[in-house]
Amino acid sequence: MGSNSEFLNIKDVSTAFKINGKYYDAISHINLEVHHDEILAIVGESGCGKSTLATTIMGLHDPEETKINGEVDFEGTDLLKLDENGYNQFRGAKIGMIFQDPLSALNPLKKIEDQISEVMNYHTDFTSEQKHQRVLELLDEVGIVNPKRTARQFPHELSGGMRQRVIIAIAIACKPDLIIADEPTTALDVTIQAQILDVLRNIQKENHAGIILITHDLGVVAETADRVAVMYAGQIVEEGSVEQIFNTPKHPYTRSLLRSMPQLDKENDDLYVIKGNVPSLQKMPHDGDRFAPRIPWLPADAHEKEPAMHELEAGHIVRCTCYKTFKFPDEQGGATA
Amino acid sequence: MSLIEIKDLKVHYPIRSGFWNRVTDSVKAVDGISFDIEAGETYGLVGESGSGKSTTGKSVVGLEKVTSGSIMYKGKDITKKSNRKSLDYNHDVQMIFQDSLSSLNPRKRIEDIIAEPLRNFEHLSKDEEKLRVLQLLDIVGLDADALYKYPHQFSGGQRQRIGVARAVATNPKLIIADEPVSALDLSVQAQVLNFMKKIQREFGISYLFISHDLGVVRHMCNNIAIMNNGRLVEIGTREDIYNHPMHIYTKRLLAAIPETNVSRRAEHRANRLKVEEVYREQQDKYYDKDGLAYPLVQITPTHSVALPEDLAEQLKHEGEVQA
Amino acid sequence: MWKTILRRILIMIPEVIILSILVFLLAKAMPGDPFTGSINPKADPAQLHHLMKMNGLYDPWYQQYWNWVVHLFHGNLGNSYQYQEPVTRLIGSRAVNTLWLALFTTILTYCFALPMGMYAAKHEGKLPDSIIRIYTYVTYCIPFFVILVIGVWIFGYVLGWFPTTGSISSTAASGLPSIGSRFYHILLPGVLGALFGTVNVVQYLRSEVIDAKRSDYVRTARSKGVPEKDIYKHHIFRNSLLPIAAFAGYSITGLLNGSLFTETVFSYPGMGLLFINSISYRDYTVITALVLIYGILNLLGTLLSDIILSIVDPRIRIQ
Repeated sequence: MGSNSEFLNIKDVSTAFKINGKYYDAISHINLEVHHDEILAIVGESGCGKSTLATTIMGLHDPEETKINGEVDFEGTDLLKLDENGYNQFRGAKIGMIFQDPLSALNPLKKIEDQISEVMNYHTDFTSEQKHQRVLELLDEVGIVNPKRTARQFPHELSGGMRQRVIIAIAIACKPDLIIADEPTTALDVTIQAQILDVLRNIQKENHAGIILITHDLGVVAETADRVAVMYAGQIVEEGSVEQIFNTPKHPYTRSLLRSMPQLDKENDDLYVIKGNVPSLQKMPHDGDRFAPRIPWLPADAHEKEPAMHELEAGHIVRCTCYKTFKFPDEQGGATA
Repeated sequence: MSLIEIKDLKVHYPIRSGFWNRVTDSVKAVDGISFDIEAGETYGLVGESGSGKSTTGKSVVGLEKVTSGSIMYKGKDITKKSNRKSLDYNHDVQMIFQDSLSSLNPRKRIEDIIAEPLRNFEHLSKDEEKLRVLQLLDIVGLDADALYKYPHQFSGGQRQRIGVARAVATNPKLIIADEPVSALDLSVQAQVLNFMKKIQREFGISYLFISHDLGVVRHMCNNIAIMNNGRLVEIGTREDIYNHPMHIYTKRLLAAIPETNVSRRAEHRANRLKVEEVYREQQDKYYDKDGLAYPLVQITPTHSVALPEDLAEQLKHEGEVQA
Repeated sequence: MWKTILRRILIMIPEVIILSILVFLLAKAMPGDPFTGSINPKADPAQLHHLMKMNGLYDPWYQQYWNWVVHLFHGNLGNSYQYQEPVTRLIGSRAVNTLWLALFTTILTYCFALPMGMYAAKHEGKLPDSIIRIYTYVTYCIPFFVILVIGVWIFGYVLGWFPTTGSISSTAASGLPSIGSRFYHILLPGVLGALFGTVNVVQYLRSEVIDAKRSDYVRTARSKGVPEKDIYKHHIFRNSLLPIAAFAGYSITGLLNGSLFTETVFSYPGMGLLFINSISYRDYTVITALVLIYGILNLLGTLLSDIILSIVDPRIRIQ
């Protein structure tokens, strides 16, 4: 994971949505790199902006309803400066996207084969025979037992797990450098989830692709990711290797999330609950630490005025200095809640 | 005596086909399951989508037409409508749904939503009713100003807590919770689970906790049943299921839970692939010729597994040797 | 699938029987008789009485119904009292005219409505969309017969561009000129019918397209790098048009019903005009036959729509 292998560089990206005539930031000042041969997980709860980040990279926002600032440098091209035609040279070819709900993400009236080969119509000059072969090859690669049969079927004839495999096949059809997977296993059973994550990992190894894995499931992150970025209220609050995040989490939000997981607790105790709620888009605070209202026992001077990112050790970055003094209410020296 | 005793419950849906649209076959959503729920406990029912766990839950509340078998409550079989009526069954047994937005009437205010079961079963004056609703809101940690709001004005976690408040309004003995937290974020999930536990401690409620999430089930439930294709494959205490799983299906489910200990993930993954392999190889041994689970065989007083006779004897023996 | 279609047709049999009894009784319940107005007003009441008796009009209703059904199975719908012609032949010649008009109007309606609906949806919320929506609301609000009367008055009488009566010019030679003359006669009613009959199709298509635009599978297509115009062509329009195709089954029967107005205003000799006339003359045999035909066509139209839908949408398979 040398820093020279990075091919996607997100620099100071903010995306704002128009609500009743005014623009509100869904993500603000995001900086991230993605390298070849890595799975970067973006975790956070609903409303934290992780999906907005994905759709911003893909350029899927309606330009009349959104305002995007910053730079998305993909192998030397700033994607945000491209027009629709220019973007289409990247989408599907160099960037593949995997969506959450595998039933609605497939056209109900087209056969699986047509939906997979469609992406090759625009990015390859394969003959129809080559495309057909490639479709079968892809279906096999994502673990579908009878590719010939599945190619002829319609989406509603497949199970949820198979549909998600088809979505993955579409995303990897043109061997993209970057794969963005937005909650790829949320709708699936655990056993299927494990299989789908295996497929993703194998593809990444074979194609040397970089994967951005967007999820709210810390278990999925711990199992699959190489690096992790934790998002809260439109900002990245902590970034590091998966070991750094899970073994030595620093930011109060990361620590709180890990603590509210049922897997890690003592069985009969209450789970840890983060006080308050995630602020809505219109009520997002714009100065100070956005997480401060949810750890009210921490004195105000523990937070920076303009929380900046601090690098603690190689690759481990934390927003704000409040992590230094942060303790849970029940910990030694922590204030009572 | 147990609070609820489910015996050989079957729910089959007919499949009609042919020219005359006659019943030619049936989908066996629930195919002969038996278990008991004790007063004050949380009983976990675990299974993947299509296993029949939700159908079981609906049968216990009386929302599903049962094909055969019985569900005994206070000595009466509540699969019969007349018995449900005479026992005031739905006063004692309530349900919490997965999707809190679609299960709360969008045109009613929270006050009316929570008061609805009260109005059906208890005849309170206006003031008494309001007081009860306020108490209930307090129990689930919502402010009094929630009374006059509508469901869409709340977040998912708050709505789920409103669902809990409505379910506990009549002081029920049993609440069927069908995937109550699977649509929620982690921190909100923690909140709802804590509330459910708190209410249980205070009012002695039993839960039938239906979920596909083994982590949450382990946190909540003392006794657990694993369901697969309409049948139970394993019943036991938390300890039995998580530390001594015997059916390959249970083993496979447990192996698929993501490992949160990052340093052990390679090992965990290898183990999962091994279990998958075993599952594929030994499927014939653990399921009958129709691919369904065998009847449950008791291994220890708390632990039963769906195994053919010979395999059960062998495992029992191994267990004794280990002990 | 064939089994299902056969079953559906078998289910239609009791429906048609009930329909026919109802129709028969309702026609009988109308006040008046078919002869009083049509023969010499000075005629002897005894002669009228004789005519009624000869035609079996004094028999109990079930007797009359039974006779009618027996004849029906011999392909004989009786004679029209008014035209003194077998009903089958009478309706046959009119049906051709109605079919011409209905077909022309349908095709024209879709020619107007499909582009309008798609264009409005593509530019949702913008000026063209607003204009098209106002147009559909206006045409929806004005009663259809008012439009027809105004149309006939302006283009038929004032400007004299189109004929105002008949289905073919009596002087037209056979062959090409006769086809031309027929077309000339249906042009104005067809165009008016199409211009003012678009509202259903436009609004339905518009909302289908708007739904499709926001669907997840269109987002998937975008993320494949499919250009916008191909997304519309291969995904949005294709998916939105399929339910419209199924809609066509119903719309044929709808147009037959609409022909009542058009044919009356244009004195166009089709089934609609025949129906109106036979009601005023108490021509029972014609009334019952026509209502029965309309009823059966409606049932068939529904079946046709279901069949089309099951062919175009793989999610729906009749079994």
